[in-house]
Amino acid sequence: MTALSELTRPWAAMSYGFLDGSAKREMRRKMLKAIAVPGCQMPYASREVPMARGWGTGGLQVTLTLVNPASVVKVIDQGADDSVNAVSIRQFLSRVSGARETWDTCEASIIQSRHRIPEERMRDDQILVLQVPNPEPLRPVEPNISVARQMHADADYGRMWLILYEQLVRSGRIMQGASYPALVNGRHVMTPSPIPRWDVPKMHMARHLTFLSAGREKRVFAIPPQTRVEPLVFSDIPYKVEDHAALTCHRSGLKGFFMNEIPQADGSSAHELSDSNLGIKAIRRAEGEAAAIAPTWYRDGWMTEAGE
Amino acid sequence: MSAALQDRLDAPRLMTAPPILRMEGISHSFGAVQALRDVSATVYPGEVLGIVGESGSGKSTLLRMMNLEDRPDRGDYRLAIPGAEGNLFDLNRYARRMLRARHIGIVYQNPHLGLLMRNSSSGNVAERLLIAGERRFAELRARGREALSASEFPLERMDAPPIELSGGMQQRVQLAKAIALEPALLLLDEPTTGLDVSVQALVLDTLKRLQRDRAITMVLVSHDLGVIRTMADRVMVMRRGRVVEEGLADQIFQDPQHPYTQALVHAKL
Repeated sequence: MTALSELTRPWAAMSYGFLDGSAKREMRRKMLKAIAVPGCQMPYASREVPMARGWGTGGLQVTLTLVNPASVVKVIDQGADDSVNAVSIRQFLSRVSGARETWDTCEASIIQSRHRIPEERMRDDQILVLQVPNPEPLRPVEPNISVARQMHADADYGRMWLILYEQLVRSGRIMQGASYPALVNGRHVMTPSPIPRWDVPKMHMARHLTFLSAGREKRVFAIPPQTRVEPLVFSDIPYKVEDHAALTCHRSGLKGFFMNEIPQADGSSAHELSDSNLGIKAIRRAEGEAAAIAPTWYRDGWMTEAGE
Repeated sequence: MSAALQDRLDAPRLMTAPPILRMEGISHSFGAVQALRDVSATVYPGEVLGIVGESGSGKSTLLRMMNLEDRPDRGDYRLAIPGAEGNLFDLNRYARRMLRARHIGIVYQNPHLGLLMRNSSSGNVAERLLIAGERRFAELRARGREALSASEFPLERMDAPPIELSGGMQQRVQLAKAIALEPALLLLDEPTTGLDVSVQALVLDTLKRLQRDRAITMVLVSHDLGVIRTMADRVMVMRRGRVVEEGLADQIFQDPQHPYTQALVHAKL
């Protein structure tokens, strides 16, 4: 008697990357649209992925669409590669696509990130995918989504400065610490996801492509390479990044980067690099190992020019 | 006759200047209710036009049309403002919004409609300047302070949110917001209704002084004849969506022609 298995072809994978073909096609179309109109939010059919909404499903869907067996993926969570969330997303990506995992910014071809941009300058062959909880910069001033869309269409962004005005009047300085709104390509105001102010200048005229995707809100937007990204400011009050220039990382000894504050038992606080992999590389280098550190965006707390 | 007196005896502006606002044949209905029937209105630069009528007579609807918030079923609306050509009801959303932001100020009866209650008062004034494109913080502060003091708002409270202020103060913030850009046209929709009589007198005083100092063209809608009598140069009486009588304020109050106006004036007296 002939077994059924003899009549069928042996099992072989027909795709990779968890999402089915039509889901990937939907993502690809909307991602291309997003690149075509920098900073403009494109709605997309957000699929179910084996993760709860709000944990980076938007970023994950973009990464799953981009990833292939030759990719090298790095996933960071608030700058760290070893948090539970980062580890599980990275393992999942490598399991469903065969892509290689890495912690090293220079090595990765796709970097999915929550709330940070790596300190090392990214190249034009790398793609950054940011997870966005709330993609609508106008939400604090206009809760009605339909009206907000009209405001985007009319480039009616005057009220965004009202938020800054109120902060200056109440506190004497700009209090917006993360998700600092920025004008992309002189046209659309976007929220750069909850990255600190420190990271916003890294997006300006960057060499790499950035995708920002919100899975729960079903919106994707993009910053193509070499695109202007200008944080909203009053013309007589300059944009300021966090004052971390003088802080030294207590583990790696590096200075002039974005730090996490670690409270100590005696009430004081120590600081450590938020970009944990940069710290690890610096320590390995200090111990005599050959760990290549790419040029960084900041030097001694100051943003450097692209050509340097 | 002395030269000084001669200056004062020049022909009134009304007679020499072309109208700044001209509305013709405005008709509008909400479902089966005909809110406006073939209404026409003209406003000359520097004058105050009072629109009076009972509730539901269409006066607020007409004001909303003047503010380009609504489009009537039929009608023609022109403003003598550079850049505002043709029937303004035919403008697209963007052009309408720009025109409103730059040239028309409005004070609503209900401050919740016109103000962001939880932002600061100076922020409310600044909002208007921001929408018009001002991006200098120092300038926003200075012009906010100027507009608030012009509407006789106590400057030490300029950063308090309107929700903490009294009704009269809220109306002053609305007024400051409306005049911040020196609009060609100031629309007042029952600005003093709901205020107690003494506060009402103070707000009217401010309005009167502003009108005298800056010669702002105003359209004032009210059901209160006293307010109209204090403020208006010319009066339009509306009833059931029609203009029943129109004329100089003195004329209307001293010698009303239409039976409805007569009833109105006598009820007041």
